[in-house]
Amino acid sequence: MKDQFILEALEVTFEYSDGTKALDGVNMLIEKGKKTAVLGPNGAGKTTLFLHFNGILKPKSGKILYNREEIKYNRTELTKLRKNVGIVFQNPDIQLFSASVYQEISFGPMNLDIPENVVKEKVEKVMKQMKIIDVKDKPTHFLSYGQKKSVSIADIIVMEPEVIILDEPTVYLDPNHVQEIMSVFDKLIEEGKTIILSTHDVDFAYSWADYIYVMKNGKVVAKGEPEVIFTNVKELDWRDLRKPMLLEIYEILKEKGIIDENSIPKNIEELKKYIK
Amino acid sequence: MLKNITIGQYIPGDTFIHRLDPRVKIILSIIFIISLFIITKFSGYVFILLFILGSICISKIPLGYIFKGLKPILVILILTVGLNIFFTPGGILLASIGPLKITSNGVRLALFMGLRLIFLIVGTSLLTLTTSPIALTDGIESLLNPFRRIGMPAHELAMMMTIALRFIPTLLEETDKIMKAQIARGADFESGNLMKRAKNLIPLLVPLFISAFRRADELAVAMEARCYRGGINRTKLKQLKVTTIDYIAILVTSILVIILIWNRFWPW
Repeated sequence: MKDQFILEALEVTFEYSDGTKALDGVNMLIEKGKKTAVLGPNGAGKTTLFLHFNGILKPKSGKILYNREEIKYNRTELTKLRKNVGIVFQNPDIQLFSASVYQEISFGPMNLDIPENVVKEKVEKVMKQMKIIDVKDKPTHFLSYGQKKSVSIADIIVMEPEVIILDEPTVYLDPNHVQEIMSVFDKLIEEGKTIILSTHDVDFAYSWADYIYVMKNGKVVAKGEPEVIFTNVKELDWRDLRKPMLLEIYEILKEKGIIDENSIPKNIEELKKYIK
Repeated sequence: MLKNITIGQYIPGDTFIHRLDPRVKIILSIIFIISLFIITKFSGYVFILLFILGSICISKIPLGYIFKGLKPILVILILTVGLNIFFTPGGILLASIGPLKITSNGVRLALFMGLRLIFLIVGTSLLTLTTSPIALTDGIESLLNPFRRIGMPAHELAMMMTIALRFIPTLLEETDKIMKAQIARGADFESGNLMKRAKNLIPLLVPLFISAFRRADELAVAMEARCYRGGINRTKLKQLKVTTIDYIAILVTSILVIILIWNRFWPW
């Protein structure tokens, strides 16, 4: 059953050139076709780990496996890996550069030497999917933050990666945009893609993720299914990680005898059903 | 990968040289540069060498940093020495490679220029190595102050320099981030010929410039929000003061200059 892991980090250690230990023996297994959320305070090493999955950073010790095979750090292999593992960075401003949204999104596939007519088709499709077709010819720096974010996600989706990694995709976005992006993610999961994201929003992580990793000081401090991680894991430091609101309410309601359901609700609808 | 760039790198310390008033240090550095051009004989360099070695010893700057400062000018150094060695006529002909002739005058001049360049860089890098950027701009501001009457915006210039220095590491970090973001999308910064490489830099430079301009804009707004309005009636946190050690430094440098002027009249 082990071949269901698409990305694996085994005992990965990484140090920045100034000596800060960013990762300290990280083990992380990412299941194929699942939604994985990585939680943790700023500076926990989430972004650094993501850069390892894409081969941009090379671990000091330990190894990264993609599809059960260790990553090789030569040009052709890396290009292949980066086609399959896409990263959307936290700040869209650092990756947008083109004169128009269309050009911007086509940059990735053009780098992969895909013929232009195919690229065109793909870009159109992604623009529709991300609802940015109206701004097709607009310069990227005139877009609103939400639109920029959508473009930066489209940038990656258009390369049709197997795994999409997103560094805090929901930060600064209005609820409407978050909703939209989430529905795109759901569609991608349906297509069999794997999604990994980092976030500080525990409420969101709780109801969205299939599996959660919690990182702190370059280590994985907890892992498990959302219900398990937020109810059973005792050693978690709750100063770094708040309990999801939904769970708190559920526990209060249960304590007061208002509900007697034993299965933990995953979203607000489920909780509503429990309250008679 | 960009972290190794050292522009105006300052090594903190509490030595005689570190404690000198920045204004005095700047002026003495200028005098040092001028004195380099007074020299007409190799014997003059002996005094310069003693002066520089003495200063390095006192400032406790590791020699490695001094050599690191020389690296960027290596090309200029080789070019200067090369041109002088081959294209100076006169003296005894030592060797000739095709149309290129090496004469004794050429060798002499090449060595002379090479040494002058090296001392020039070492002397000035000693200034930036022992003076914090803030102290340096403070010093420049106060030196430019007399020119305010003729319309020189001394404070504004100093502020600009401080901000520029402060943002060098920030911009380097930003460049690093952008590079990673573009590499993740299959951008290639390392292969291809010169033209292709230059073209490949577009995805790096455009976001970098945009973010630099935006940062500048935001910084200006943030400064104005805190009522910044240039140099009028501003007081200083650290008052510059000329003390005994500064007079000692001035004295030593004066002696050097006098010796060098005297050196011009020596027979060798």
